[in-house]
Amino acid sequence: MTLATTIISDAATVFCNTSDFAEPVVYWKRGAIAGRNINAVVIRQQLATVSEDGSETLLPSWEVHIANDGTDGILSTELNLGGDQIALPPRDGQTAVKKTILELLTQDAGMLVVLCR
Amino acid sequence: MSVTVCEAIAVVIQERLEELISGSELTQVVEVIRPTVRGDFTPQDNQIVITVGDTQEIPELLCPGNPPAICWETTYSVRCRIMPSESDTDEKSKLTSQFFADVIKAITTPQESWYQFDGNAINARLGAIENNNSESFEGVTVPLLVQYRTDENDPYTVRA
Repeated sequence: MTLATTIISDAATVFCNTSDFAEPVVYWKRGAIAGRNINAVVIRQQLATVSEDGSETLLPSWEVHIANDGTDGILSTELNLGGDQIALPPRDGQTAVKKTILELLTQDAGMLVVLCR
Repeated sequence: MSVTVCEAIAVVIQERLEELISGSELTQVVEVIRPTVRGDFTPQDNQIVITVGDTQEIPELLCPGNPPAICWETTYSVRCRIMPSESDTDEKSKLTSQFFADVIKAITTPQESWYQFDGNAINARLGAIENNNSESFEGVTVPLLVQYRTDENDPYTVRA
């Protein structure tokens, strides 16, 4: 096993392990009638003005780290920035609600980092 | 509970636009939102977000009396968000022009009295359609400038 394959494997089994850093969330493809249970590291960010949406509008955002994997995470080739959503608790302990994936912040063979609002 | 005239007009605008949710227009609107202070909504394709902008006094349209009637002009922004699927091949301009056309049709119905917003306003006009292009908001904004009168000492009371 090479270092590269070890890192890719660790993305799902270590970094996105709920016993370590991650929490369960649900991935909803655009228009799907059922979601897929996956694990993700959710970074809850501060409420911020969305300047592109007018200075009147405030929207919280969530940075979500997931494995680049079609079973345990989201495959980079299946991600659709035109309506895919992730159901996550807005605050730790709250009931999960769907938030739209707006941006793919970074990607590599092991992980995807997306921004949800 | 009493609502200000400014708020009553916003409610009428929302009600008219909600006709697009189950309507037969080309744009299948999914929801019409008026954001809370903390913005508890998530962006979606074919979503309308209504925000209320600045309000200014129009001195030349005030009416004398006791109390006098002050004329205000408030800008309501109707933000039409598109977020088509990555596999969607429709041109952006086609989607946005359909969207704001359907929004204008909804707002200006009924044709003979749309600018009164159920008796709350004396006049209204549409501003220049703004194209929005960013990672956070793709779509168009339709500004709606509404003039209405209230008692000088009571913005809850509409005046003709």
